[in-house]
Amino acid sequence: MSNRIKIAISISEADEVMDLVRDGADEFYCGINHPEYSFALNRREMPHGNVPTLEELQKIVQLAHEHGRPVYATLNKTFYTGPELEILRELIDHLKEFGVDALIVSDIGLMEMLRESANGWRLHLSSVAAPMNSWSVKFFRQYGVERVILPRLHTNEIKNIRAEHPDLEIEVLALAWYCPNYDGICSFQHDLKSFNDAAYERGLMDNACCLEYQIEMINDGDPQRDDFFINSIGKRFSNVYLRMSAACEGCSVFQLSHSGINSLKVVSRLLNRQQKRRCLQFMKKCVDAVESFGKESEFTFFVKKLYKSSFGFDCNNNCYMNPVKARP
Amino acid sequence: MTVNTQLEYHERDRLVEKAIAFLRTLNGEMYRGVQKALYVQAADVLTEGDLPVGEFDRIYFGVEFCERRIPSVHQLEKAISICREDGKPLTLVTPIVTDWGLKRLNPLFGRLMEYDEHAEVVVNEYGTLMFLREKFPSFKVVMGRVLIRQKKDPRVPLIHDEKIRGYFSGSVLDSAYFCKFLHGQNTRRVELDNLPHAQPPQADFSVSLYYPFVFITTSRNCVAETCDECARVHYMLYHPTMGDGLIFYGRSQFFVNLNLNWLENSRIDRIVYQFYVPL
Repeated sequence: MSNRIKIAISISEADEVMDLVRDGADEFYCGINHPEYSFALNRREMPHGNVPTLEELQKIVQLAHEHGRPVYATLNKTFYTGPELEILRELIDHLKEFGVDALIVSDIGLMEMLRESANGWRLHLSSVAAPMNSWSVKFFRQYGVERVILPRLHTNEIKNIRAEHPDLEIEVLALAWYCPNYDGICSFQHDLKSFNDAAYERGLMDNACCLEYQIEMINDGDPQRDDFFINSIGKRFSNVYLRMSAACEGCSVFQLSHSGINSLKVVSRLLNRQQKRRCLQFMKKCVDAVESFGKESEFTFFVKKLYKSSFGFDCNNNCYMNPVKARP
Repeated sequence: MTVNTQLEYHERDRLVEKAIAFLRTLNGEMYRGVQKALYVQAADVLTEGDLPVGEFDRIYFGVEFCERRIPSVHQLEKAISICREDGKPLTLVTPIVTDWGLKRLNPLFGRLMEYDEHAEVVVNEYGTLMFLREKFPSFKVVMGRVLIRQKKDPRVPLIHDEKIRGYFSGSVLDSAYFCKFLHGQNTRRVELDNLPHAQPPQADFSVSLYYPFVFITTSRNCVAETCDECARVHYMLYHPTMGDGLIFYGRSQFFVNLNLNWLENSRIDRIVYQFYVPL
């Protein structure tokens, strides 16, 4: 028998709560803008994608709790400096007052600080920490992590981690836009466009994986243009890098639901409300339908049709967990 | 300095010339006391005759990013044999790994232990660190450049405001809590990338610097169809903001920085020289 998987989605305004609850959200996660710090305190750049004020966060938590939904605060920068950790110390006190249910963390320095302060926070490990295997999960559990959000791993690798850690909550990214890399290992910066207006206006400071590159293939030291290859890799780059389609694991819900996975994350902080709702509705239909399919192949067929009807284009086999081959 | 990467990093003779020129640079007063390490991904490269292996103080052997290219025990034995003959210490470099990759590393650790129970091992993933601490606690663990996070976007120098540019110039070593964690792991050496905009690290660790390929990102998406193709082919990504271009090789992306202009007043005491774009 499969377990019913929860769906986690981002929230940035209190008046989104009801729509998202109705659309199927079981859990909310959010980043927060700090009123006095001009740089992002999580992996998504300011001001987009984050809850704009502490007052708004308080409303979100209150409303979400009234409907039985937990709210998790994302503090998942790849690393924090010493002064940033001091800013977080104060922010975290506010989060505690508001009743935020858990912190989503990735930086070891932050985890060390939280362990030292012993304030009883529930911790979820962000995929930005890149827990790639059962031993790294074991490593991070030393900090009291109760849930691990896995990075881009194959379904079999996820199952292996589940087998080694049967008592741990596991969350998997199921629908992710824009990022083709391991987010936690990537050192491209998301917040450059805030700091060079002239270049930003010309579209030059967008996220590096969204830029339109001229691509040249170098084969054994000879620069050449393999048109077939460039066309296919260029198309793949375009699909992945230029937001043509989400990297999706809808089809994997079949296996994941039989593997004891607790939650699916819809990566959505940079989406507008309509896009977010569409993603959530799609994922909810996948999760709700999985019990009615005895065969994975039939479920896969169903999901691909659903993807097309939900987003208006084919999924292009842009699977989040499985490697994308350059040549068709 | 403009880099013609497609020629300079795939022509062996020019690579050897570049290695010698680089080594002469390091003989200057500014680099006195700086170790020179030669990084190779296959032991055969050490015996092909034209690399000035003798000019280097240490051999780095292994891979950093792709677990599919973890060397065999046979290759490690070859590297050990060469190092023993030349009287050079060996550092084993390990990549980002899944459980599958960690299983492949295990016999390498076993063989390395037979050779030197206090050998250096560069780790680029916390699972490997955990594994070594439990199974091979005598190894000297070096925290690789994947784990010592920096803000490496090559467009940082385009930011006009000096204060804001400074925000992008630090590393995780600026965090006392992270340094506390490193001390708790009994780690004495960390590794960094040679960023044009970086500030010299001041934390109390010995520091290695990789040269000349700055690692930016990696993924599960390999651009090659097969591992054989990967060995022969790489891609250049050009964009007006990306200087001389990004190198996309295997699963990872890099840019090149040939300047070593921040060694002064830093704790950098080792340079790890990579002839080829690393895997």
